[in-house]
Amino acid sequence: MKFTTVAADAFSKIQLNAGIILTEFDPTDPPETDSEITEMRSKIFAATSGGAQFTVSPEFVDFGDDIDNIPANTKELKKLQSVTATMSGTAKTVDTDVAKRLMAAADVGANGLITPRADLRESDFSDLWWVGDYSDVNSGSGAGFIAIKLLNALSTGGFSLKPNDKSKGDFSFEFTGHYSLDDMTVLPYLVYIVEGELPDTTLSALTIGSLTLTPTFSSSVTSYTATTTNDSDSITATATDSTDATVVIKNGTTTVTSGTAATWSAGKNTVTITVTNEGETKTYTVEVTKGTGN
Amino acid sequence: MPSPEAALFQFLSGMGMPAYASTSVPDDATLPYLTYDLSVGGWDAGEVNVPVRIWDRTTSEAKMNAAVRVVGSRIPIGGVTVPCDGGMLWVKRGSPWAQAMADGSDSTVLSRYINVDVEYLVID
Repeated sequence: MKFTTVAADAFSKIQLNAGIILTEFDPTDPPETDSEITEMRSKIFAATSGGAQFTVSPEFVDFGDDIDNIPANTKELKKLQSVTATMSGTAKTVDTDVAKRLMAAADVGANGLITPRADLRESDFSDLWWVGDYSDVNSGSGAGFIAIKLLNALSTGGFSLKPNDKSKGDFSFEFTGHYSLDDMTVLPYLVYIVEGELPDTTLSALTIGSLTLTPTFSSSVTSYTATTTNDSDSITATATDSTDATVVIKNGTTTVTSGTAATWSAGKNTVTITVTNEGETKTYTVEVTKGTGN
Repeated sequence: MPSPEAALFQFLSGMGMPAYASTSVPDDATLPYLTYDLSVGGWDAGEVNVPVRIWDRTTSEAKMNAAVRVVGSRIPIGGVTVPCDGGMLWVKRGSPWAQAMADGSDSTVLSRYINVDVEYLVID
């Protein structure tokens, strides 16, 4: 045994690319259509360089550390007091809204004026998301992603501009998530790890008249045989994803509409059922042998 | 699933023109086509450079630039993953992305040299 190895599915559990920082994101309904993607792009906080850094630092209290005969780090006496969740990085683009957020407490006025404020207001805190590609299925519908939500984010890194000669300026940022008195059991961050799923190209049902398919139909089995003495039998194929998938049935080269009859030639007839869903395809085949009967 | 080498060939064959490994261009291949220098990596090898060259018998730089844009649309910012036996290929844009070149032996043939980087995320 050599212990220099990796899990067989390691490639499907990799986070890819720098990701983006968004002001809004719904991980339960990620964008899929062009219009939804355009809408998401309008929520990008700023273009970044070098990716973002998300860090959660827990602060523990050890109630046993000053008690005689109790060793430090006794699990029953360890309590999580709070966490500090931060997201930091370097923005390469800025506008008045971005600058306002970087300044933590500020107001945008006319003529591009952003006036810093001495007091913090409820409106200075708002959620930020980091969302990045994840898993081997990482584009199109059903793409995998990792999303981190920083709740009640406030710029705690100050406002920083570093112009660079013959290069783009750097706006360093650090945001910190915040608890709320509304519910102090809610920690200031959430993490979603969603594996990508290819579009469903399976059949949920396949029947050819009253013929017996061998083996018995199963969505995951794509090759079958059947025998008949009929001149024709009705073929019905139902896609599992009946909303988005299309099903094309062919008897040899003749297209057969689902629910209608295919006419058999003597001997072997090859029926193919191709299920297509968002560019992915799966083909089922049934070899129907027509005998002459008794 | 195709082998990693076959998956790369199939992926590069989807650029709107035939693709050939630069070591195996048929004598009767007709322009336009692309060639690529196959380099194979592995899980622990990081990115390997796979230079791709587009060839066409044309004097139109615009036509060559359009061909590069087709390749760019297949390899967007952030790259694209291509499933293969044992894992996937992560195909990315290299730098510089595309360079104009000519065929020194034939002034009617133009070429683009495209840097493609491939990370073989493949478990043997």
